[in-house]
Amino acid sequence: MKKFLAFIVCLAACLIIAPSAHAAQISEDQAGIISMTCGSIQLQLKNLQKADSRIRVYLGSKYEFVLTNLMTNLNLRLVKNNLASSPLSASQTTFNSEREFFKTTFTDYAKSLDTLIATDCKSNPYNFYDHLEITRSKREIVRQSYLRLKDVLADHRAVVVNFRDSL
Amino acid sequence: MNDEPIDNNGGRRLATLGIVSILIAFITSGISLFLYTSSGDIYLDRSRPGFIFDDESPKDTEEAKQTAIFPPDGPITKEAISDYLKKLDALVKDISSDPTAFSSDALSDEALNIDGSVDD
Repeated sequence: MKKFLAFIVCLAACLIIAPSAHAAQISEDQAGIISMTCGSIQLQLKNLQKADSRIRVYLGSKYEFVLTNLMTNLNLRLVKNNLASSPLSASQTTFNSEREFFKTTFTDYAKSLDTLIATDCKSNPYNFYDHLEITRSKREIVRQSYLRLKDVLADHRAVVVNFRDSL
Repeated sequence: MNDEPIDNNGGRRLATLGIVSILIAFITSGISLFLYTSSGDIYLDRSRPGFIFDDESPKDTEEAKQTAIFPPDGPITKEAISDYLKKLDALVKDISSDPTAFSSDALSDEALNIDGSVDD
């Protein structure tokens, strides 16, 4: 019986502590604003979802084009001319790996954003904000991957220029 | 006289066939939907219900695509590599055309108007 009572007390304590843990992140005023403007927030998020999808499809097609019609073709031509270059092959591999990572991270982020849109921000603003934080961090990972892909392309260009100068 | 018993199970078999067919259809559709979602294709499918939007992204013509390709056959000369760089630069320019892609600003408190500040 004592154990049961102790369990009930612990459970009650957890339930009391849980909301205050959320409260540490946003103020009651902010929670009120989220509840009041929930419809507007969700509309903004849906528009963002569409814009992100558009950018993802656009970038995805460009990355695919660079990989298949430029990098791969250049390496193929080098092999056919017995001039295979390991730095150029390596940059193609790096680009492909980073592109795959970009695709995976975007899917992860898109799922999170989808869940965020489905979260009832009107009645549960604290839970909504927690999920918003998670979605932000996932978006940041996508952003970093996008920037890394740009860096990989810049490095690839530098390698090609070096190769051209060595001819 | 034919004394063979008449098979009265035809109707039941037909019903079983119908139910099994429907079950198979549900299962295969479920698997397809699971793959569609888990692969992330759902987030790229811009024709899905409630997701149709005005497509403003620039479209490359087939001719433009063909001229942007670096052929896998041919000699390796300085001119060929310069041509490659020219094509690469054009694509990199397209890729970098939106510097704010996936920036954190879009999900900030300010952007969502939940920072607690009052707009005048």
